[in-house]
Amino acid sequence: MSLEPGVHLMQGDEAVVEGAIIAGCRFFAGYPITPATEIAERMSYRLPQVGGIFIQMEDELGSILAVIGASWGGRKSMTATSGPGFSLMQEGLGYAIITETPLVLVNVQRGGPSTGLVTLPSQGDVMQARWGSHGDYASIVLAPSSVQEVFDLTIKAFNLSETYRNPVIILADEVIAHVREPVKVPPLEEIEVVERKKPDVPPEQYIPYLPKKPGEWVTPMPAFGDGYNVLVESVMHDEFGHRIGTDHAAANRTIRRLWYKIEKNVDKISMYEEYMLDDAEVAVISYGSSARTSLRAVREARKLGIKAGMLKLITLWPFYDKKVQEVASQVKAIVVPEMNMGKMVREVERASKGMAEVMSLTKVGGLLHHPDEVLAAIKRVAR
Amino acid sequence: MYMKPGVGVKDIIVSDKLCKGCYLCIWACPWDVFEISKERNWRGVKKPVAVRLDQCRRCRLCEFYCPDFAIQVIIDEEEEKMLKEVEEKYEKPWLPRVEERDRIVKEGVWWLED
Ligand code: SF4
Ligand code: SF4
Repeated sequence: MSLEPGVHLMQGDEAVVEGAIIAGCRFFAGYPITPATEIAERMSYRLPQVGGIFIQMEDELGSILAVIGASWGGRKSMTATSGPGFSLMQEGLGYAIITETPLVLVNVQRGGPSTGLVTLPSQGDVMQARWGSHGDYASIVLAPSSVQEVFDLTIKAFNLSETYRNPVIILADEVIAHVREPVKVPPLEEIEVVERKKPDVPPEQYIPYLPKKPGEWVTPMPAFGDGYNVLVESVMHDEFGHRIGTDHAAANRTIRRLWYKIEKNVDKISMYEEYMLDDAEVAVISYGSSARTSLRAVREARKLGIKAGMLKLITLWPFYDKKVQEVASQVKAIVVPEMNMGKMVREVERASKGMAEVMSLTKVGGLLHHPDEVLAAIKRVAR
Repeated sequence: MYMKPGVGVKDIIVSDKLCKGCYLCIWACPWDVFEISKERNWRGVKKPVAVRLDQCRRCRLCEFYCPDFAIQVIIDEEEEKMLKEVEEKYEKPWLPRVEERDRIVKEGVWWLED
């Protein structure tokens, strides 16, 4: 049974599980890792209750590949990990991208590099989530900043991954994963769930990687055993799924479609929230748990008479240039607090094209920004 | 043993099905017998072609170096006939499918124009 509608007190990690089950996830393969362990733990007893399968794999390399296999078996599938496991999963992630396999990967970020700060939060993986696997591809990456958002975005992640046949990464962090907050679960019929499209043509006519008409970026996906002969393979393929190790024209077509199907749909994929931006002179652009303390700082600034506002990025990738540009053209300065050495700030700088002064507010070592630090930064640029 | 160039070599056949275009044969040949074909075959490979067959000394280094058993130096007429038949048999049923594939791709790919 999926969760009853109503209000539940949950951890972020638990909300991932409940959201996934409502979205139709019926397979989980993973390896427990702090701070994502509770996801695997709860999955291990929740999935069997709803007719799903849970496997604890030997490592993260196996985990992501098992998820890819299960997805091609026709089930909505996911895995969850943290930094070190996320690094191991990069190769498998590339495999999912070139085979256009829908799956959801939750990375509960902790401090790195390497084993790093096992129990402390970080936002250090934002670039890895976009560019971590080799080659050219596009990613969908979502960053929740409350337990409610974890729940909602997990469902959304499954929907996006089915719509675009691409892995979707949820970048949570230790704070969001372990904080307990009320989560409002709406009646099931009010929740939008996208089901996988199966081919509607007989196997002889099915062309695995040639979308039927302009605007349809992906093809319907059969499962193993449905009778469709699709070669699911990591070597570059043409529209027919044939290996084309040396055909540069076909490779060009395939790589471009993998990129465009996400980047050209940025308007549809991007989610953000605005706070008091209408008349703002200073904007804070933040995401994930940094956005929580930033919002407090923005409210404090307003009390002091500083016209501050905030743009919270929910979709980190594809990066929504248009919105950031709009904000930059409207304000004097932008502050970007993030729990890393300044990563998304590069994107903000690029997108704002010099229209506003951009200030990076870094924080490493495993602590959230204190609202006072963000406030001090706002005061500094407001002068 | 010195061999007269070109004597006794009927042909050098490179298999469409097996050659992957690594050109180890070209590198191995001491007599510069091969050129790279301008055309791609149906597998997308520009195969080596023995354009200077008259220089070939039948040393078979090209054969030994090919990791995919794709190249054969043919000395015997019987052998030549047999091999050419095998190659043709393999290729024939493919060609119409390759042409059909190219047509479908040409008509169906829309995402390259901006
Ligand atoms: S060595 Fe063999 S595979 Fe390589 S190019 Fe020559 S014939 Fe082809
Ligand atoms: S048999 Fe020897 S000489 Fe003849 S093509 Fe092969 S490598 Fe060159």
